[in-house]
Amino acid sequence: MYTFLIISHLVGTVIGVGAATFAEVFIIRDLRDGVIDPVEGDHLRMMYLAMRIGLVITFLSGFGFLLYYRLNGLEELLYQPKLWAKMTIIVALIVNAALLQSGKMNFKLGAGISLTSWYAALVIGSWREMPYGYIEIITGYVLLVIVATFLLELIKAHIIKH
Amino acid sequence: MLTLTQTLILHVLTGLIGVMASYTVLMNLLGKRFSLKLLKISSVAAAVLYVISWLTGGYYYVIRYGVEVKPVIKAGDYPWAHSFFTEAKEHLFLFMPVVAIIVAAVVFLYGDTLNTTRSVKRTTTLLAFLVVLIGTFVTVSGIIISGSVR
Amino acid sequence: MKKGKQTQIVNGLIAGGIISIALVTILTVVGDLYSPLKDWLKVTFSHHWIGKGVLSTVALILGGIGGGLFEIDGRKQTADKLLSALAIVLIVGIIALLLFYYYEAFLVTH
Repeated sequence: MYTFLIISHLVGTVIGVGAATFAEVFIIRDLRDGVIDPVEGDHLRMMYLAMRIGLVITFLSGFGFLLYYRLNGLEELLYQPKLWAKMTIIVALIVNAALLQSGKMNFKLGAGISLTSWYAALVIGSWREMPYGYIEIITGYVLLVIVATFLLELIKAHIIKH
Repeated sequence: MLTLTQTLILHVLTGLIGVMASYTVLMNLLGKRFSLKLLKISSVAAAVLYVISWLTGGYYYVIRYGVEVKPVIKAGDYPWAHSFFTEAKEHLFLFMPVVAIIVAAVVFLYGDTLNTTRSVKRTTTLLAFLVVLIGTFVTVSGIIISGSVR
Repeated sequence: MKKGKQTQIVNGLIAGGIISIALVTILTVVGDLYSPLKDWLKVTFSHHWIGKGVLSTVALILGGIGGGLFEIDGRKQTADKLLSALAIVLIVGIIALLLFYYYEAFLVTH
């Protein structure tokens, strides 16, 4: 069971991180001519669908782990700061998606949040002996969102210029 | 007949997928255009899943939690996990199937005209959002309560 | 089923939902402060939480059935108003329960 959960969680993360990365790559490439045509739009929609699929798999397998801990006498793991930081970041990702959908989130910031959230979840999950507490992880995450948003804009401006 | 462990697993999974279904309803309603088919499926799924989660959770709560788990939590390091999180969770959850059923009923009644009836769409979106919010609180509470069982 | 009938049932369902949510909120807060009420729920339904669940379900179902049977207001404008009322009652219910249990868990000495 535990192996199945690990594999599912990894598959979901890989799909999500990959889709988030390539969504940005495609947007930057497609905006070179200043317009996203229908074919380019279709590719982006596919990336967003892949991101949602990745999120569903990661979400369900993630909760599978929590249930596993509960049912196997490992309840203390449920109070790990890095677990709560990861869950906060996933909630930020989900809220960000809803705000983008309703047009209430600035697209540039939304893209930064989305990309950073996926990579942050990947890093936190992989970093076994992470020495940081909840506040430090979330502070780092917020700073990375700002840096990522700024970098994405810099890259887009450079590509579009050329 | 399910064991208590299987009942707990079913309770968690159906609740979780129910919240995901409500989130799908919310996302659909937030967009400029929605897929009526997806809206109907996800709204009905949410309502059905919450009812299953309710019944399985209630069974587990009455048969095992109240008798075996609650005393352990109350005697442990985190008694507030029961007094706040369990109590709030078990009562707020009662709102979810009711509102989810009503959201589904509105979706079926209005159909595509939901897009043009702005005030109803807005209120239904708000209701879907509130269900997701309660669902999130209930889920997080479940984790906190589980973690306090030592 | 005719559209007007459908609207009556849905309007009844929403009205039943409003009563359901208000009932759960009131039974929960009053029940915890006034033990005879909680005891009555326990005796009648074997557990107070089961009692609240049953009563809230009955309110919802009776609302829906009543709406159709007694042909209550079948206008969509009424559905609009009822939905707004439901949203308000739901928000009040959520805040009331959270505040009440926060008070009970962290502020009151038992």
